[in-house]
Amino acid sequence: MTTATVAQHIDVFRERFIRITKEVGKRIVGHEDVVANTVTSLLAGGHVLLEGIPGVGKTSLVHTLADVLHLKFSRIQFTPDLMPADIVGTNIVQEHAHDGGTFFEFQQGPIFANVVLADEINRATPKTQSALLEAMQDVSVTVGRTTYQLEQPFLVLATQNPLEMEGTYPLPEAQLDRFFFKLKVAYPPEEAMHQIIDRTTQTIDTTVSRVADGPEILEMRHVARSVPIARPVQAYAIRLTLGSHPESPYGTPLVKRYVRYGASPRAAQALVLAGKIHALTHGQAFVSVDDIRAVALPALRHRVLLNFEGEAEQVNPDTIVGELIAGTPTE
Amino acid sequence: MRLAMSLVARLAPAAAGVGLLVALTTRIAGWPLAIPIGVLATFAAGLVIFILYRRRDRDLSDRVAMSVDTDAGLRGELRSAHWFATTGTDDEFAAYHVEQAADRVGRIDWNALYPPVRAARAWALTALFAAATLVLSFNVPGLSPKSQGAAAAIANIPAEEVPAEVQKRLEELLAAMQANKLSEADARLKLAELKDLMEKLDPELQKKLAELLDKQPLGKDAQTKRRDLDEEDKAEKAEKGGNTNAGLPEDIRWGLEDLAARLASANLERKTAEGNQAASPETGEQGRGSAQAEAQPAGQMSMQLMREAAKDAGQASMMMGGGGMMGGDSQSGAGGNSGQKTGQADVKSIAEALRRELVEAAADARGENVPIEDIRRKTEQGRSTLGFSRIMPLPSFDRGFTAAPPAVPVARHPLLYNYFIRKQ
Repeated sequence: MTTATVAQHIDVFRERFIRITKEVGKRIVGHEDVVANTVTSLLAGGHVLLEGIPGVGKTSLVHTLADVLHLKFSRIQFTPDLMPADIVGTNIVQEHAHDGGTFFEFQQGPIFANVVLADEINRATPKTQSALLEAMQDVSVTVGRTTYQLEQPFLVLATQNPLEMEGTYPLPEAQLDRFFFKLKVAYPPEEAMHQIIDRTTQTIDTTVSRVADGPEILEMRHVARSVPIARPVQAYAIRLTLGSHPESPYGTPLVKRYVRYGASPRAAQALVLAGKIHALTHGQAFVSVDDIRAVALPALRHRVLLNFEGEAEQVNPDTIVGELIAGTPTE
Repeated sequence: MRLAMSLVARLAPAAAGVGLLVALTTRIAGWPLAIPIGVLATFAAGLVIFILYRRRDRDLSDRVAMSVDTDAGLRGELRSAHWFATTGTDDEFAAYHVEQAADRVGRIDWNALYPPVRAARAWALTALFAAATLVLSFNVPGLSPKSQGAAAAIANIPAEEVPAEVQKRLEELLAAMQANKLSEADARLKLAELKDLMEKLDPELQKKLAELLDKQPLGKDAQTKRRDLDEEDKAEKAEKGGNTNAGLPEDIRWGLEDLAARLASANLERKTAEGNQAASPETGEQGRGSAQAEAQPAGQMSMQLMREAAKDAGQASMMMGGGGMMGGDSQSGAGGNSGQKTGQADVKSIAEALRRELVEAAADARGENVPIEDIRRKTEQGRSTLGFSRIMPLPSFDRGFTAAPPAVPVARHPLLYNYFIRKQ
């Protein structure tokens, strides 16, 4: 690979990324950052936890993304009575046509798709939620004694409603840590509301075209991982991660006061990988501290677990992470 | 480097200012001329060394790279490329990154980003201060070094080498000056005679005295320096009706007085020695006394110096312990006693004791709030270590005290005069 090739790879990556986000933006209005971060997560091979009140376009975003990327899409509506087999699939008894004998045949669940929407994931029991663990981490599911590989690219987009907490099962820390990003889908601003209403109540064509496919996404993933990162910048990402721990010397006052557990090493991986993609989307062949900072909030906010005091005072983890970003030394 | 030059531009005027200050202090205090020049040279050398140190070749740290990166607005590219360039890598992306960074860095106008340090005012100020320091260092008109030289030359004359005739003339000259009987013209005449006599002694001193004769304004300088005498002293001078120096610079007068005193002491020593030799075989008591005085180290002997109120005008008097080491009734130290009871302490010891007492007096007599009697009493209690008694009146003190730390301030000179020298 020559330098010209590298430059070409970067340009292609950037062009595709912009094309995807632009196409998704045709249907999703007012959430450019959420769209960009969702695509970033997809290119990094991670999963996204979308949090927002009902009706702000979470499910539409996932639908649109699957349409744009020409990927297989499936949706799982999580309910309290949802069972793990409803997600991963199950072995069912089949009968041979020629001799009438029976045998078990694996019936794939909705997890076997490229883009999986786990809608209202916190309404299912922890047992069912944990059914996603292996799929999200290893991109495979095991039923009985057989392990089935999931098709790449594989992306889980889970949504949860922060308001209706009654009858919900908050995600365990281990599962939260498996999400690459946690994105907050805010209420759209007034101007965006006009566009939403115009697009959905008139005859405006909001169909999206497929601008990328699975192999292109995988190629983009490879390019993203090729971006070098200097050790001082990587050290900054590590300091940022360590700083989320209350016992760390890099910990800020808010962290020391309100945080019970900080981010895991997965957070540092997410910071670096997302930083690389962020750099590429800006046409850079290197990762800077600014790139790390740009992706720190969605990568860390769900990995900071508040202690009792933090919960009692309803401290927003975003505030803690914001202070951490501002207070962590860059050298 | 830019920071270093900026720092130097800030420090240089201050350093030159310090040099100027030292030069001024040197001029006032009469220190050696080499001090301000040395200070200036030290500062200059320090600045040069600092610049050379900062300009040395060294590795660029990540911190510096980051700082330059931020200043140039490269968004971390330079810092990252610096790290890859330093560590070296075969990665194509890294090579491309370094190449791109080098290209971008090459397009930056560094002179616009880091404009050279322009500190014309600072450099001009530095040059001005340095020039003023040099001028002050090489041209010291106010301190009259020639006068100092003459005084020092007089002070350095060994008493043993002064002929008797010179001694006699000198005593006459001083007596006339003390009695205020000497006009300025007479003083010049006497000095001329003295010069002829001194020619036999020291050609160097002759030259100095010749200069002294030609340079009467020196007396005015000395008078100017004494302008801050207190009111009491001025009143006493008015009573005396004129200047007892007779136009001589004060330090010269002090030197002459000191020389006279040392001559007198030398004579007395000689006489005492002769007397002891004569008395030893016959009067054991006196001999023992002398032997005891000889055996006792001069530094351990105690001497009480006190000053009586002068009822009879005349020369300054010192009251010496009549009973040898143990003291006794004070007697007038006008030289009327035989001197057989005196010890063998030398003039240097006396001068040392006097200097010590001067320093002590200068330290204790802080001003009006400290009575002079208290100081005398303290002095009498005796830290002086001389056991010598019966010398000629010592109307002067060692000129060297001005150089010995702590220096006695000029404002305290009248107090010292009042203490050690009886007013005429």
